[in-house]
Amino acid sequence: MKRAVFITGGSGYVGTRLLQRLDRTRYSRIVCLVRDPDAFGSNGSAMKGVDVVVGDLDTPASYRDMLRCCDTVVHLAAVTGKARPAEYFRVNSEGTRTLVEAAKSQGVRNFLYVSTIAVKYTKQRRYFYAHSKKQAEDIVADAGLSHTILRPTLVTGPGAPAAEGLARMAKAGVMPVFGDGRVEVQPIFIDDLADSILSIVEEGRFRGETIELGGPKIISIEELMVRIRRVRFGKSSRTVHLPLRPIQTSLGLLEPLFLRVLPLSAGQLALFANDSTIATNAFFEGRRALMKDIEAGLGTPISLTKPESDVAELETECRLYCRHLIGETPNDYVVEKYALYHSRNDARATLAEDRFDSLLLRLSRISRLTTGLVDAYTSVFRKHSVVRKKLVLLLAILECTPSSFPKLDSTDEGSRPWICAKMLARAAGYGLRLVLATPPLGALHLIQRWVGRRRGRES
Amino acid sequence: MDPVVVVGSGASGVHFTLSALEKGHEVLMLDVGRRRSRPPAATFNELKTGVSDPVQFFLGENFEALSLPGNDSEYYAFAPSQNHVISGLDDFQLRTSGFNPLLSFAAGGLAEIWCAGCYPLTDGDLREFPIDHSDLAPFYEKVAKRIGISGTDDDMTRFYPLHDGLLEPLALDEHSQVLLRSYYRHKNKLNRKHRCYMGRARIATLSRDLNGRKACSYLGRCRWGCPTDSIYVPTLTLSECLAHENFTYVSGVRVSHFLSGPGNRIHKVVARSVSDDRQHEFDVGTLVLAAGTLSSSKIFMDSIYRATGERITLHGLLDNRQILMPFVNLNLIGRQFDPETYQYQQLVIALDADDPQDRSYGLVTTLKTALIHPIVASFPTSMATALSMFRNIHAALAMLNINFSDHRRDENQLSLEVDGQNGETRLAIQYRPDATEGEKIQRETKRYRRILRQLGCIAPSNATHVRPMGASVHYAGTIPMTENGAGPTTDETCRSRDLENLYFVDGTTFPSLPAKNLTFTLMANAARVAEVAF
Repeated sequence: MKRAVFITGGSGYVGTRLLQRLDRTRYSRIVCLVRDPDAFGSNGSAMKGVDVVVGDLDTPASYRDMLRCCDTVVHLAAVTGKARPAEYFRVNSEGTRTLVEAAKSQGVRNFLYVSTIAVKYTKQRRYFYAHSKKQAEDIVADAGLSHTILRPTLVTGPGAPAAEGLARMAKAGVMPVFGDGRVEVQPIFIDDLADSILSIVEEGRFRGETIELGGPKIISIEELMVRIRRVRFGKSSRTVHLPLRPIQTSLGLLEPLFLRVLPLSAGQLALFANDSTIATNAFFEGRRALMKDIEAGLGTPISLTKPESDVAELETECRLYCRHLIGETPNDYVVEKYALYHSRNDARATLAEDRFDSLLLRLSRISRLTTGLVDAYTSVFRKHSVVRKKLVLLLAILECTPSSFPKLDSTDEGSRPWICAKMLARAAGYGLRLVLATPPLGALHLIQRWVGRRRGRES
Repeated sequence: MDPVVVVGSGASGVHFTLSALEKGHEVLMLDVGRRRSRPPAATFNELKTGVSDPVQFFLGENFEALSLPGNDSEYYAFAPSQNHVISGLDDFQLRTSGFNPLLSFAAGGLAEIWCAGCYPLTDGDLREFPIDHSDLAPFYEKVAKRIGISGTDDDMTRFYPLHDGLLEPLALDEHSQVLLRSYYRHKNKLNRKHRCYMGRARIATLSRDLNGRKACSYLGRCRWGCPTDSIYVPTLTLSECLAHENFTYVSGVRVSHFLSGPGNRIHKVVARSVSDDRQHEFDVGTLVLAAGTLSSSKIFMDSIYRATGERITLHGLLDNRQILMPFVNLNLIGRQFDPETYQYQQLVIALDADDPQDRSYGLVTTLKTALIHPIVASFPTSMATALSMFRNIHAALAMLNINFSDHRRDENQLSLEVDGQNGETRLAIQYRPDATEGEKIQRETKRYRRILRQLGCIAPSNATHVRPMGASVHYAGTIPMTENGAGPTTDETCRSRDLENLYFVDGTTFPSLPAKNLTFTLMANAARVAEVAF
């Protein structure tokens, strides 16, 4: 059965991605409540096939009629980040109450409320956002609608607000970590959250459950920040631990007067005081295997929609690697598939493991000579290097491509002794490249490791 | 009269069902039953040139068949078109320790993507069973006539008893011919000194037309789905069942548990719809679990838990340890391979032992058509050098898949865990290898390496890979058939000793696991149960 769905917060971070991933053919109608139609309209792919209602949660007259033609509400809209306590409660608690009542009055059957894992934090001092979301959960649960409450953990992905906040700290020369950094997080990639929401809606999973949803792995918050620092900024670990309680107290005292100029609120630091992990559940376990690894949400993957220079760089890289592997220039199909893999968010081959890996990648892009040297070096000393992964990716594409697979399937011409002699010569050539590449690259590798260890000790 | 309800449409389920239908029983089959689309008819190379998007066809829409360095998960080389066979279900949860299982919710089960090896068990193999070879022999023949098995009477007959219904063997690819010739040249020494024997594999692939199916036309794309149905898969027998008017097939449901009442009899089975999670109940005359050892065991444990609150543990989980030993045949370096040949194993090497249960078997798959990037990436040189080397030794490469037997041990077990939040249950699997296994593996791999050398091949020691438990996908042993006994066991007709009208016809009842692919015996035993107990 096709569903008619009413979405609030469609122009927000989760809502935008949700609308991009939503299969229009599975819905009879998609209605979005937005406050700022201009902001929403700028998102071309998200708004396609969507009926837009301009209005506010607390003015039900603006959207009540559209609710009548929908069977399911997905409530994403909320005030997040840094705000006055009254604002949290006005939008998150009372706005939800208004929406729930309007939905009931218009005969909506199902209600999905996207809450937050923060509602179960045990240390919620001055965390009004969590208080307001808990109130909203209670309103939804008591409304008598078929409902599901979803509590996602920290959301990662390109531009994810909470993760970007951590990234700003991770970018600093010395990375500040509040508290001992040992509290655990279970980050969920934005696409996995969007797909989970769609799965609940499309399966009609409205059994009054409260589902906690995280990503596949649990790590400490400090480890998460270290990974962001490494992947995004190529920096090694250099950390300073700041006392959490005194800072929270100070911020709490300053907030009434200086909230606008403060970098963050006392409540937002609750992330450093509480574990943001989930109690495992059947829904999560069923999706765990499909979820992206933590790294997928940390980097800034190369995308086809990004500036032309990135795509051009990939094309150059693909052509160079192809000449290195099979001595031929790739056709457009190969280049397109090579770029397509890189445009995916879970593209494992696109992320360098560390600064040395980034260096190897840059060196390999200079010329066929340097590609050969890096290929030789990584075959012994860096088997999981991003360069080797990209070469394997390219080979996988070439072996499926009509124009190139016959070359990969055929032997060299000549007698058996001649072929064996050629193989020996190639092995010798490989040995020579390895001998040439090892001293400079090995030295750089050692220096990088030494610097990394030294910075680690200093911090 | 209420029908015989069969759970699962895998190799065991369909052969039990067909036999029961032939005896006039009314059968209801419940199955999740995911289906594949029919594969295009073409050779391997024609697929590359003919399909509109070959990269998507071979690597998958999300590049799921791509294997990159650093990916530690076990590589199965599944084709993207086979994803429906191995994709999981949201509400079937697992927690594993020392065991990496594969489960299937497809119509036909895991045998939809098997390599079709059919090896009957001997009396020595069946020593721990309450039945012997003579009990199974008529059913090996019956199943062989249904599915079509090609093979021959050669040196392997001492390990694989002959039976009626054998078709002439398939044409051998060049590399297999070279290996077999080499074996016969050194036969005396290999037999006497190494107790090694080699012969043709028995495979459920047609060498001539049978029952409306076409003989193998050597398209070289077995792994990407046989378009002529020459390789047997259980959905072919399921189609035969569907032609019977006494047969009802309900797909799209997963059986969660059964309900029992007075007299220790099951009266209903409960299933959930996969699409909308709605619960359905079906009346039961007799219940036959054929969902595969892990799923059947979970249904049994779940039913007891829901009825009594007791969480039982089933001991004695079995699986064959497998070792992959790639090797190079020096006689074939520089030769061009032929892509239009049968893709799976065509030869078997057996290492004899005083105790038949200590024998091991190595299935020889010579390399023809395959995705080559994982192989090239495994070479210890730069990618460019590896590729140029590979092209010249492609026809000389092969893989020996060595199988070891397994015996029931208490520490290898299945149990249930309950989610505190929603009360859903989860299957917990624990497997610990035998303490002496490491030594045995080392000893046997050395023996195989010496034998390969004798055959003119080299098996680099650092390329040998011990697969994790669970990778063979031969699961068995949790509710064994025994002559006497109580608790979670069955009698020799695979009838549960706990419930009057419950049968297990999959691997659940095998009390030991010889080093042979068990699928042929699963099918024969299921047909036997239908014959002797129904």
